[in-house]
Amino acid sequence: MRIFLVLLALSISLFAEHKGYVGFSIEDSSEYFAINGKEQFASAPQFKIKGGYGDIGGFSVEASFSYMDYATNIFSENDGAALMLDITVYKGWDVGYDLYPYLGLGIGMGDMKVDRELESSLTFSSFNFGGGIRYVISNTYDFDLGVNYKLRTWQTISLVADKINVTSHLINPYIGINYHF
Amino acid sequence: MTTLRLSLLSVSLAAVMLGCSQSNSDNTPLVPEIESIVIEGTDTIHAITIDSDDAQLVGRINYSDGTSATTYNELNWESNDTSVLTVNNGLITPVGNGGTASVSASYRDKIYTTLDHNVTLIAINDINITSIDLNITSSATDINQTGSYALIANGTFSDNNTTLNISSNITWVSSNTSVVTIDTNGLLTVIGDGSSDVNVSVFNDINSTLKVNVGL
Repeated sequence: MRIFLVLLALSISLFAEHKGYVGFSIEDSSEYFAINGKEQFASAPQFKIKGGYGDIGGFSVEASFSYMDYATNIFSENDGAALMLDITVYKGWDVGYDLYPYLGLGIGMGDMKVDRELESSLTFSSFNFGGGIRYVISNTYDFDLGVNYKLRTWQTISLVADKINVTSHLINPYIGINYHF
Repeated sequence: MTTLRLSLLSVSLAAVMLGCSQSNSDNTPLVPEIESIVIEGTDTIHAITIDSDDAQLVGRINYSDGTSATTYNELNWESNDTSVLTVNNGLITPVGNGGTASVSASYRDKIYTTLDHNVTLIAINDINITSIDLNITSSATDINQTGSYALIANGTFSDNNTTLNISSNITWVSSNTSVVTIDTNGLLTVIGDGSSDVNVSVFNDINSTLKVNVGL
């Protein structure tokens, strides 16, 4: 009961200050791989849901969960979908006209299904950097436009007699909408 | 105003959805897949290993892009009859005097060799003790000077009576160490007057004895 009351009080407080938000974005995920002297671009739509807390014109922290499924095979004949979790800290500025440009810095991790002899999935971690601009549509909604760069380090792939370490470069332009409470 | 802003958002969302780029049409993975592992190396080895290079097996990994690579220490090796031979990191160690065992290799308990690799041990039939330092007749030798003398153990194997120097791979024993001592490589050292039997043996049943008479 005590926990419930604390959470209720916290929710009321957040609502009153509009510091919490949830959102959704659609991204174009374009990732560059260079492995064993061969290179490949893979791209696919990426869908993200996110939630955060902070000031739109100041600092905020955001956790997001993304889904993506490249049609291009990178690691196996039947690569599957990837799920990602990112934690990002943003710094925004109020420049007037309901516009809030921002920069973000974060880390991420995820897992991609593959169909290899030795691996059924590959994990990865990432360093994320990006920026964008938020346009306040109403008291509770903002329109979000930006781009992220991710440096991904993939799980080492075993070829028995050899091991392959993969890093990739990912660019995510995105648009989205956030609901503030 | 809010309606205008929402309209702008809708148009932008539609533009990005339509603009999301398509994947490359070349769907060959960048990372090759493991197609098979095949064991390479000798299929016969003398029951007493002379040259470890002869006893080394390797696993050849064939990849989907047509390339291959070899390794031995990344694989888990197994012998189906450890009374004949054992295998560790691909190196065969004979245990018995002859016989055949099947060797397999695996990786993470997932990939197995497509065919087991049979290894046959060529049995040793006899051992003969000689020396370039001593005159040996009728399995006996007389020594009248102190010093050290190199003994040689020649093994005769069952493959067309092949004879190989096996001095370093067998057990040397002196029956009377107050007369002579002998090291693991067959180097005999005179200690004092008397007689001693120098015995060399392998697999407990193949042995030879040299009688050493020392008169200083």
